[in-house]
Amino acid sequence: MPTPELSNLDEATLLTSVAEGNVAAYRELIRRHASRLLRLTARVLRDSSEAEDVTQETFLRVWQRASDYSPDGSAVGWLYRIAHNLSLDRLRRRGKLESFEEEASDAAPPSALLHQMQRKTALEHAIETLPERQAAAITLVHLDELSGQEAAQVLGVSVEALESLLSRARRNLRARLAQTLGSSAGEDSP
Amino acid sequence: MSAAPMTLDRFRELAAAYGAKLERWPESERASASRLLESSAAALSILRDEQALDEELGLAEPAALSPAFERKLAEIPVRHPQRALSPFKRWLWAPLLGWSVAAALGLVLGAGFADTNDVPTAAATAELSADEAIDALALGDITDWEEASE
Repeated sequence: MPTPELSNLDEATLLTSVAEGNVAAYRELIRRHASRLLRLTARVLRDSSEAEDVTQETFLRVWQRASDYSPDGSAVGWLYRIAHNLSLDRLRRRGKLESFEEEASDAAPPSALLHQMQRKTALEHAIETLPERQAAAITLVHLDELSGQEAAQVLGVSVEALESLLSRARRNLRARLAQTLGSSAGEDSP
Repeated sequence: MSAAPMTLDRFRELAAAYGAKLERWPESERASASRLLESSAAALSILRDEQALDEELGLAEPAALSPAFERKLAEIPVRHPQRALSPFKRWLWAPLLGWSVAAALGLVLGAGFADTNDVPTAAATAELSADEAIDALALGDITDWEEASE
């Protein structure tokens, strides 16, 4: 359980405390962001084991380099940018960055499995099959609730480019969900 | 002063990117989007089209952390000491620290000398006169001294 004092602090203040060696502030950042960062890294890497490695490396950097954070920028953006950059480094090492950047995954679940999928699983799969940057954009803005500006900072693009990524991601998601669930899922509700 | 009215095209672009929840839209455009929404049935229809996908996205859950993984994250401060200042910061701070110490020392010593000079003693005055003589010799025109010594 976080102490009431810590739970009231924003991320920028927590990072400042972490830079001073405050372990409780570091643990509060884990409590707030670890599972979300794990989801983001898993989306980009499509490998849960590597996603755990990268999330761990992200928190190691947070602990050791919190003093590098400049209060001029968004603290949440700084945190997610570390995780995203480390994920891209992994992809580069795998030599797969190019294919992940603009091409969607061809992986499709077996049709028998499709019929058993719940909406949640269908959504997870639909996001996983988006191109990496679209998956990251939709995760940051629609799931992790970062602002457009923060998400653009994480991805290293302009806000306009982010909006374009998001539009394509939503359009693709809608099409995939409709295809997977075979109904009006993701489309206009009656 | 109110912002410029939003066009339906811009409204459509934002809805396509950020979905139906206006609180997710860029803060600078929310007010004009709300105004358009009040008067435009087309804008309302655009938002309704995006709502279904927002509902699907709302089903997503954060990744579950295994206890072992949570423990690994929590142990990072124990296993990895925080790094020292970067070489650049050390380079930046070392002279600043040196200057600060020198300035503080100067103030303390200066204050001490100021106290002793408040009331000069006879001996100090005599010393001062000797010092002044040496200064005059040292700072005087060297040609005078050379001529005198020839």
